[in-house]
Formats: sequence, structure tokens, C-alpha cells
Amino acid sequence: MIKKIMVNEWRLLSREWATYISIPIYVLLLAYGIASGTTWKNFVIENTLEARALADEGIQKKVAKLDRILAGEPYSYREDPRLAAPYARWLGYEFAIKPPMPTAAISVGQSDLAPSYLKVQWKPMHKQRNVDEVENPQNLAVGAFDLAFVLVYLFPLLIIALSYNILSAEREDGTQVLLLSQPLSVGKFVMGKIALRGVLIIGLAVGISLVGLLVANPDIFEANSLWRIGILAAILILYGAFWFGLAVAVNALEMKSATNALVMMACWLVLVPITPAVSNISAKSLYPLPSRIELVEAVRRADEQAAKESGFERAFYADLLRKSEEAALEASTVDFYLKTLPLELHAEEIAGPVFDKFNNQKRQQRELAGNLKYLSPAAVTQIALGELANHSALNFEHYKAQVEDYHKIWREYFMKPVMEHRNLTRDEMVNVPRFTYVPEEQSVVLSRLLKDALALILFAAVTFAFGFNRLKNYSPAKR
Amino acid sequence: MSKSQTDKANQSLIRAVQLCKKYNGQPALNSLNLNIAPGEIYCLLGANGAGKSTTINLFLDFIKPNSGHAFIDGMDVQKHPIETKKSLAYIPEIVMLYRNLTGIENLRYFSTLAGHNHYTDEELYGFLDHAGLQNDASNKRVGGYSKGMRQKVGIAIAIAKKAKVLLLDEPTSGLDPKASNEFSELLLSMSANGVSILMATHDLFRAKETGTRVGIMKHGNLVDDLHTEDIGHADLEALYLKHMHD
Repeated sequence: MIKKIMVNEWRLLSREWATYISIPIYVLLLAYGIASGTTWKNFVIENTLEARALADEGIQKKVAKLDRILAGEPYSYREDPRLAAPYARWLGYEFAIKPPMPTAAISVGQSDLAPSYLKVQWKPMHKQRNVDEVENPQNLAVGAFDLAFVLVYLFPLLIIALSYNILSAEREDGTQVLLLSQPLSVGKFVMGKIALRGVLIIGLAVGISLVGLLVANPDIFEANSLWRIGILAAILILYGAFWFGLAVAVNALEMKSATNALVMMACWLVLVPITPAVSNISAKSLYPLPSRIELVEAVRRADEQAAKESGFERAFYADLLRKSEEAALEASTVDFYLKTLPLELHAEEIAGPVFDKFNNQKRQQRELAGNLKYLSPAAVTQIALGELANHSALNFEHYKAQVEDYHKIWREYFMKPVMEHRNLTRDEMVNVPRFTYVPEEQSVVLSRLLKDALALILFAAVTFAFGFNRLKNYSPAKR
Repeated sequence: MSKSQTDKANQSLIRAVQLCKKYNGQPALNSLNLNIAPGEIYCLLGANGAGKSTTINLFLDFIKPNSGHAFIDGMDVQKHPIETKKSLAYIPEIVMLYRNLTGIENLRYFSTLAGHNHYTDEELYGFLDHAGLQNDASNKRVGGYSKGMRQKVGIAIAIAKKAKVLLLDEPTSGLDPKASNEFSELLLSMSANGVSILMATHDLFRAKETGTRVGIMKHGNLVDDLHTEDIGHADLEALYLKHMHD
């Protein structure tokens, strides 16, 4: 029976001119979202490769310079690449790269807040200048037009457009009485109408997303990422099912088509843009971050305290440095860094609690926002798509933690020769530790995605259960 | 109830037992008892708001009774809403169809829903022809149909359903006299085949001509129930007007 209703619905839809406008636009938007995400991914791949090449070149150049020095090329003290502290602080650097996943085209993510590579030197990571890709600020403000945007924001709009009046139109057009005088329950009839639209809209979303992503990003096949594509399909089906469930629930309230449209648009507004924004604002209000000025002040006070505790007199050494005598320079520099580097570490320790508080608040904000996402299926879907693209906030935190660990390794590596009053050896220069990004364990990402999928199942089940339960008492005689 | 009455009730294809319906506490139908046997054409007469459409809607399970029972082919419509609809066909006052489908496509869809997906195109055209729709109109979209043409497609849908019970809510409204007359003949031929027909109408003439029984309703009560053979046109009109003026 449902199949027969679907066939008739298809016949009816195929004779509506609006179908021939909305469906091609929808297909184009999906295709554009994939193309836009893929272009961004390729751009990031290019940038990260360039950054890595730049870091490689920096190391090679310094080794080459050393080889020339060892071969007898004259050099000044400042030009000696073996000086450990200058190497660690400004001459040397590493770009800690987070290469995009093969599925990165699904969601561009917040490239301004979550860059794909970070420069690592001696200075604390929070003082490191953000070296991310130069992007038009207008683009960042508006947000990316990627597949995630089309699926989270526009996909529900098409569902609303094609299903807000599935039952109310039958009532208003007068076809309902003849229909429901047939041996057919109103629930089954609605199910048939929804099924056709579901197959059409969700089917197109899943089909085009999967085929488009695989064609534009063949590396997905090579990188054991097919499971991510499978989960993308499941998330889309569940997210779409929720919106169809909402259409059933709203139609079961026996309101006019115009009222249904208004109610569904209000639901879209509340669930898609408003709830995620309110969740973030709530998280920020409940766990406010200390102001940046407070942080800067804390660092300054810590520097002063550390300097005072160590009895280190900067002025004296600065003065000494200004003399610029080669011998004095060498002596003072070695001494300067011998004292300065531990001093900086001590200052960071003093300022540590402020940073801990800052990070703790940030973590709590993230956790609360993470829990509040369950208020909106759109937020759940957006975050799940971010997870699939490896662009979620948690993915970035995982990367950042690796960069922090690497930063410690960088410091320890160069601290050793400084404390031993010696230069770097050639071997040490060749074997400067490099950063290698390790993606999160598949099981960890899967467990988060499973929670998202379960939340979407619950959203869809509640709307469908409410709708079909109300339809049991639906009165076809009501006008 | 005597044995003969019980037997008659059991044979009835359309039966109401103490059927009551209230809207917001206001009675729309009071303790209706009705038995319509196979082959009977029962015409419900009454002013607007008398309870005719309410009665039909109760047999269709479109509304729930406050008390009492409605039976179609021996089955309680509330307990067997789907099964009873297999046995009945319904023609509303205004037949509304899918305007983007042709007459034949509408007929095919509704027949399929009724469980008759085996009809050939020839058979479907035959039903439309039987209902009086011109052949050339069958393949045109219903959006361009007149009310009478839509009504004829509604009749074709009812014929194609081959139901034991026919519920009609002012079905000839919008039909020209010739079509109305053809419709009456159609009802008589269906009645001859054992179909029980319950028809709400304002047309006293058609009720007397076509009906085997007439019931007059007023304020939700069936105030009179008589056989058409026992009363003439003028007497029926006089009786009807008398009830309306009481």
C-alpha cells in the first residue's frame, strides 16, 4: 500500500513546476558544497606541505651552513648555527602540521580558530603568532559554504518546503475525505507520502554527498576512511528523519498549511541557528574566561617575580650586549641564556595557575557546550560532520595537546646543550625532533559519533512517535 | 426486540444502535437506531445541521460517537475502521480530486487504494463511461473539470470499488437534471445488485423516486422513518415541511 501511495506522490510531485526548480537547485548546492570543501582541503594540503617544506629547508640550511663552517668558511659568532638557545628561540622552528583527512571536504571547520599548522619555537604556544592561512575576514565572518552548511542548514529547508502540508493540503484541497474512505489508515497514508519525500530528498543528499565526495576525493579509498563516509550516510538519514518526523508531528496537530509552515520555520530557526548560539553563550556566561589583559598582567607579574627571585639583572646584561664585542658577546650570550631560559620556565610556572584557570574554564565551556548540543539535532549533526572531517573542537584539542607535548620536547632538546655550556653537535642539528600528527584513535571518534547517532535516533523517534500517535485520533471530518 | 426484528437487524448492511454524537456538549445526533438491508436505498432528509452528515461521518469513522455503535456489514466501524471501509464506498457533496492528475489517473489511484489494482485501462474507462463522463474528458487533468464532472469521477470511483454499502452525502449536488437522473438509475441498478445505500439529500423528489425508505431528521433526531411506496410526492413534502415547522 505504501508503495502505491509513493508512486502516486511521485506522479503528483513530478507535475509540480516547483519540483523542477527546487530539486535542481538542491542538487547544485550539494555539488557546490562538495566542490567548495574539496577546494579548501586541497588548499590546506598545499599550505601544510609548503609549511613542512619550509621547516625542512630551515633545518637543511643550518646543517649546510655548519658544514661550510666546518670546511673552513669564516663566520661571526652570531652566524654560528650551533648556538642552541638562538636556534631554539628564533633561528629554528618547526611547523606542527595537522594534515587534512581525506574526508576533510565534508566540513571546512573554523580555520581561523583551529588552524591546520602551528609554528613551534621556544616561546610558549600561547605567545606564538597564529601563522594560519591568510583568509578574507569577510569569508570567516560569513562562514564556509561547504557540504556541512548545505546539509545542516539548507537540507531541512527543502524537507520543510516539501512536507509542511503533507496532510493539511489534502484536508484543504478536499481530497482527504475520499482518500480516507478507502481501507487505509491516516498513519499509513502519511507514511507513504513521507517515504517518497524521504527517498527523494534524503536519497539525493546521501547519494550526491557520497558519490561527490568519493569522486572528488579518491584518497578516501586509500586511507581507510570509507567508514567515515558510511557514518556520514547514517547521520544524514537520521537528521533528515528528524525533520520528516517533525513534519508528521506538525501535520498531526490538524492546523492550516500556512500555520504548519510558520511552525516548522520557527522550529528551524530555534533548532538550527538559535539553540547552538544560545548554548555557546550559556557556556561562556557560566564559565567565563579571564580577560586577556588579566593573562598578560599575570605573565608580566610572573616574569618580574621570577627575575626578582633569581637576582637576575637584565639591565646589566642588556648593557653588556650593547658593547658588541665578539668575545664579550659570546661570554655574555652563553651566560645570558644559561640564566634566561630557566628563568622563563620559572616565570611560566608562576603564571601557571592563571593559565590553568583559563584552560579549565575553557574546558568546562567546551564540555557544557558539548552537552548542550543535545538540545538541537542541528548542533549534533554539525558536530558529527566536523568529527567526520576531523575538524571538530575535540579533534583540534587532540592536535593541540600533541603540539604542546612536542613543544616540551623542543625545549628539552635545546635546553640540554644550553645547560651544558656547549653548542649543538652536527648530529643534534640533523636530528632535531620533528612533529608528527597522530589522528585520534578510530574507536574514540567512533564512540563520540555513536552518541551523536543515538541522539539523532532519539530526536527522530520522539517526533515520529508523537506524530503517529496523534494521527490515531485524527479526525478527517474536521475542516 | 422480536425475533424477526433481530433477524432483520442481523441482515442489515448498515446499522446504527443508540448512536449519539455531541459537539462541545451540544447534541448533533441522539440515539439513532437504523437498519438498512441489502438492496435498500435509505434517504435521509432534513434541514442543514439536522445530523445527516454527522450520521454518515460516524459510519465512515471520520468522527467518534459519544455512545452507541455504528455497524457496516456486521462490523463495528470503531473496532474495524479499515475492514469496514473495504465494504463501503463514499461520495461526498463535493468530490475533490488531484487536480494535476487526469480523470483516469484519479480513478486508478483510488481503485488501487481500495485494493483493485487489477483493473485494465479498458475497465477503468468503462467505469467512467458508466458514470456518465465523456470519453474525451477522461484523459484531461481534473484541474479543468466542472463540479459535475468531478462528481462523475467520484461516482466511477464508487462503482469501481464494488462495495456492499454506499454512503452518499448530497451526491447529486452540482449535477444537471439529466446527470442526476442517470445517477438515480445507477443507484437503482446498484440496489438491484444488493448494495445498501444511505443517502443524505435535500432533494425530496429524488428521495421519493429513488429511495426505498426515507428518514426525516431534525435536531439530531430521526423523527420519521417510512417506506417511499407508502407515501406520495405531495404527502412526503407536506410531512417534511410539517416536521420542519414543528
